[in-house]
Amino acid sequence: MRLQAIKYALILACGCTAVANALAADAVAADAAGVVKTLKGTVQVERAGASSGAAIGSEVYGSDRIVTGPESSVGITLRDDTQLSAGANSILELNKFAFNTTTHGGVLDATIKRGSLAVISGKLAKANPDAVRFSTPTTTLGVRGTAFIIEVGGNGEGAR
Amino acid sequence: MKPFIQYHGQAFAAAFVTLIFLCACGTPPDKIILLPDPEGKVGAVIVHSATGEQTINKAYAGVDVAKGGAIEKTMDSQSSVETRYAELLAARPPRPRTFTIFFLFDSATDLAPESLATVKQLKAVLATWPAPQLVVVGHTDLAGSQEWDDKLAMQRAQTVAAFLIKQGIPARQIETAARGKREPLVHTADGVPNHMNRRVVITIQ
Repeated sequence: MRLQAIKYALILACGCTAVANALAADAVAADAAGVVKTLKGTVQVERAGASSGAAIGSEVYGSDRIVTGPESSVGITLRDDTQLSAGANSILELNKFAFNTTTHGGVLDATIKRGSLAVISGKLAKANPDAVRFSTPTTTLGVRGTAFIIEVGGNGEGAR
Repeated sequence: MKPFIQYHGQAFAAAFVTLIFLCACGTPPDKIILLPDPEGKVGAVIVHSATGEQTINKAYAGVDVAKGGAIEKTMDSQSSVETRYAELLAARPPRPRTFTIFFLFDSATDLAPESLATVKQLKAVLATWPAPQLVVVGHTDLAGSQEWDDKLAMQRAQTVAAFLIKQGIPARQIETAARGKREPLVHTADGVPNHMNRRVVITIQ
């Protein structure tokens, strides 16, 4: 009888842990800055010192570094509908991203260190243009609701 | 002796200037080119370098920014940009699409009759969408306080989310949020009821 009770207690505890884990996973998912939508060739996402291959559906986060190889490209939609694509041999650093779907407040700060980047700005730039900033090794761009291309000259800053 | 040094000094200076010039030419500049947005509108970007600032506000206009910060204006054509950046532009994600669901009267639960047809269209689009994520955002008209309207908008979003799940869309692809009275479809004075503003907008990202 007592054993049975312990068994149920354990099942209950494990069940709760599983639920708690599922909730925690959800919370992390909600913090994702965006999702990979197009991919060609080799694309690596560097996060907290580790690097992993990206696939369509991979989530990207604030402070991720996205690296494309030769003849490669990646397209990412951010949570505020900002559309990004990076061309071959590119290094894109998503320094900061936050977006509040209720207020449309937040921040987007990205640097293209090498290669090329095409941008179609999203809801953040529309509601809060000063919160959106793109940079290259030589420039900083302010965005007033629009689409543009950045091509970094030479090997950029990230050539190693 | 003095004129000799002066002469050589000038020669060195000239050589030095030439060298700097060559270095500047050796490193291609960063290029920024403005495009029309997908709806055809042209916005603006403001480019800041170490030494200057330039606003670009015409389609296919741009700037070259040299390593030292010098900004030079450029003008391209649509065809040259589309050729040069063909691969980059082809890699752009699909443009997020929106679908709007309206509500009967003041309800947070009764969807307008055309909703089923709207969801059918949405599902057809979803079928070919890469890694789809649905953002379901509830809106209200301008009657009521912001706090009340935020709650009502959230109820509407959840009603639509439940409807989408019932129609076979996986729950994990759906995120709900409420915008309350902040983004009316039809602009009215505060406090005015308007059925067009009582809606839920679903964005496929």
